[in-house]
Amino acid sequence: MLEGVRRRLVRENRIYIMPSPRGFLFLGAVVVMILTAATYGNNLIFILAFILFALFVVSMLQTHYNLKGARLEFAGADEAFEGEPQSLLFHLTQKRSRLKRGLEIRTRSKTFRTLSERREDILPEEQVKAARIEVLAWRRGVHALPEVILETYFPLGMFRAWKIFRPQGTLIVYPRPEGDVKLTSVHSEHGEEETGLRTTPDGDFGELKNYQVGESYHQIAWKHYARTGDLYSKVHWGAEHKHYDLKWSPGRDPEQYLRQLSRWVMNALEEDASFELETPDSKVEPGRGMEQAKACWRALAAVPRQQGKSA
Amino acid sequence: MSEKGLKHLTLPLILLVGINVLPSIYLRPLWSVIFCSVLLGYRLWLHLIDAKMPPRPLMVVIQLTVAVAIWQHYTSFFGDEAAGTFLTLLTCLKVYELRAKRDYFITVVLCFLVLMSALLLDQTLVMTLFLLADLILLTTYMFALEEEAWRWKGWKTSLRPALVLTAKALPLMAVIFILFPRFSTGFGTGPNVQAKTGVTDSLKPGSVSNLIDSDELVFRATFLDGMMPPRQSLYWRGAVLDTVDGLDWTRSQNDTRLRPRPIGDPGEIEVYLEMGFEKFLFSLDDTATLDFPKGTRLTQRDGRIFELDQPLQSRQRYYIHAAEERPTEIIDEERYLQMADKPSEKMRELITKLRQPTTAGSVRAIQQRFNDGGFAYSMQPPPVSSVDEFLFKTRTGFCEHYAGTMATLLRHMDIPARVVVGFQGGTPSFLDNYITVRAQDAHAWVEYYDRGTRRWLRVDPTAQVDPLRISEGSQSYLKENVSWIPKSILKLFENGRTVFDEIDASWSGFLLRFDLAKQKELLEKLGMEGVLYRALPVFLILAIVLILAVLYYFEAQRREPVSPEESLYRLFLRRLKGWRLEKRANEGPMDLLKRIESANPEFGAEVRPILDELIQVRFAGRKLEARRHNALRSAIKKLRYR
Repeated sequence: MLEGVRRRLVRENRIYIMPSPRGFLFLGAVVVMILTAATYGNNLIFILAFILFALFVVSMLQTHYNLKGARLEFAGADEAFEGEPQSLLFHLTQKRSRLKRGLEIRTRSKTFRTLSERREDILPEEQVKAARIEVLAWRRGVHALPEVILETYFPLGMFRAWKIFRPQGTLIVYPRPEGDVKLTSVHSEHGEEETGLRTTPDGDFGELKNYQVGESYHQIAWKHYARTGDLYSKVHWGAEHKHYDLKWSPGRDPEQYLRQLSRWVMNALEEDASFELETPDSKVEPGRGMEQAKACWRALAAVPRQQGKSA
Repeated sequence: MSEKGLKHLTLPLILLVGINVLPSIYLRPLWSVIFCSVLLGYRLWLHLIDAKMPPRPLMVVIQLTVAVAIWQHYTSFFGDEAAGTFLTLLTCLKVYELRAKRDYFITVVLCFLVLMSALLLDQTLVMTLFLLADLILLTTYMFALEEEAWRWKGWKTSLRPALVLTAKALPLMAVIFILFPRFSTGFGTGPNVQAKTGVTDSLKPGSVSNLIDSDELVFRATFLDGMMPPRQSLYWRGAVLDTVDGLDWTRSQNDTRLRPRPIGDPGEIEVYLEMGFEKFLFSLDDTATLDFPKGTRLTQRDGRIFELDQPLQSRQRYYIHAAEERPTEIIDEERYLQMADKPSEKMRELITKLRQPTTAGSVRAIQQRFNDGGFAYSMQPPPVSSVDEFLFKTRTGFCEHYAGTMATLLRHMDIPARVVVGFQGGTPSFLDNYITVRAQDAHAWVEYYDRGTRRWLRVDPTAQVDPLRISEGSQSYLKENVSWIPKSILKLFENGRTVFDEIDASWSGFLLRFDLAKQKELLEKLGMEGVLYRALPVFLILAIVLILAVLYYFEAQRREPVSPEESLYRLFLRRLKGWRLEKRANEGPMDLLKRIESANPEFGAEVRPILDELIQVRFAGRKLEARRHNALRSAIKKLRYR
């Protein structure tokens, strides 16, 4: 309820400003000084108190101006497992050529914790500046982007001025790979047929293909390289071609099962096996490699959280 | 940020606390200053060797020790001095507890409070200058703290933001100072300030010459009608002494006492008497009465002496009203003739020799004797135990010897006489009509009663022995003692001091004068009376808002300088915009150039050399000479998109 009211009242890209706790402390000292000055009729203390108050108020203007015209545009985000840092990328822009200092970006969210407290400065000649923050998600899921706060305490730390941005988009947090239930691989006849490769009796390897930069060097056909000097990678199949079929059969704790699935996806990726996944809402067709794993993890992240069970 | 990140801010903070402890050296008890130095010194050492802080229980013990010491010294934790000393010590202890950024900030705020507690005890111009310097330093530190970076190098650039901010704050401060309603908190003003040495109600050999060593300011007197009498004639009367025992003069207690009332009309001479120094309001020979602020507790005693009930707690302003001439008085002659001892044989001889038929003649004869009798004036006279010893043996003395001896001789001649202690002369300002009187101007002289005119008359025996003392002040003696310093430099120094005194006087005068009444007077001049005056807080807030609006307007108008290549690039982009060719966000100059070339190769060929050069300057660190800058500028202006 309150959150709804807040969302309506607090507008995007507006500057809000309040004294910080440090500012209140400073103001308290000024009040003490004014009372002392009045008690002793001491004009020099009045002068000190008033100049400190003037500093306080003038610094408010600077704090406010330090945020004026600054905008934060969401530029993209990493995907990560729960409990792992995840980068959010922004473009920090300013309309006017001003030096803006000590800008901090953080998220305002129950799901995400902002890790890095980097302070960004924008130089007068910079109209756009890339800014990155790292957040840590508590829970897996496909989350709406959290509210992002751009704030500053510049110049004296006595005021906090902030702006709220509500970027559109989602942040995907995979279930943490966890669990040690063994999964046995299945030999997919279907897959063999499709590849249509001939096999040697000892099942050594089936085929060579041109080595691509980035492929694992375990796959390099070293014998062949020694003979010819050309790099080929082996395409394994037969005995070494594993395939996993990850079926949706959660036990009592679906979250636990999701983590287990996440682990299996990771194992399959490490074994360079092919795998397919089935979740209540979607099905990921068989495939292998990083993209396939990401597709699976995304599907796992997107599984609706069951209310009341493990939230 | 972590503690480690703030560590480089520790050293400057310790130094700042040290700077704020500086005024304590002369304002606070010695033990507290030593304690502070030890605390700060040890903390500095811990920082330099990068050691751990002392354990918490030890710190608690030290804190308790400090509290006990304060109680021992002041038997209170409140009051301006006790609280100030306590606060100073606690601030020095605070630097042992720098954990988070908040602790650093709290220490800065404590420094401001320590500064305030020093201002309670000292409001001179020097202190005001210290206040300003300290303010700039602390603000600089606050900037650095927020940025979490301290730079020892390039301190000028570090100071700049603080200077700019303070400059912006000053007009606001002035407006608040004028408009802020002065109110009373209803608390008292704390315990008495300890009396410093000054003119007392007794005179012994050495009691005046002790004062001569000090150049501490006693009071300033401004001649409001613009007529400053010659300084030789300025005898500032403090105490009148009528009881004699050998060379010692004291005051009898059985005299008439009056409670004068302020007359509410400023006189001819305005005097600012420094606090804690004196218990007398000094006046001149021809003073009829004084005007002083309401609430001043003061007694008028015989000899028109104005004595405060307690030593001053703050600087006091009063006015001297002059009379046409000294009033006639009928006196209790017995009182001013009594002697403790009978004169010796030798003394009797001298008295017979000097006595003349008229009072004035006798006085002149004594003066003549001091003049011709081989008497000398000295700042360090040999010790004497009796009038006889001085008159016939040493013949060297300071003003108190001469005054005491002359009054004794006069009494033996049956002329009522008394000794007056106070100040003589002072340093006139060459800028304005005022005179500065310092401790070193302390003096003692004689008054005798003229039965014919029924008036007390002043006579200064020292003027006979050493006229220079009266016409140039005791400073002339100090000058002789430091003869290795060239005279011109001494003169320069003295003039410089006078200028400084001048500013100090106007400044402290302003600080003292600007009270509720003055504020009201000023505001009435500005047309704020009655209802308007009562609405002062509203005006105050309006004024603050107005000033902030003006400051904000100028802040918005301010353009920050960009590099020349950047401004040229922007000029180019503005021209592009005119031809509906806009740079896309996230498009660098290279990408832009490629896009232009592919869209319009002919135009691209014109643009390429310009952009190439700008890119070279911006990213390859090539220097942009003024000639090239102008050439590029005109090239950009000549571009036409076809």
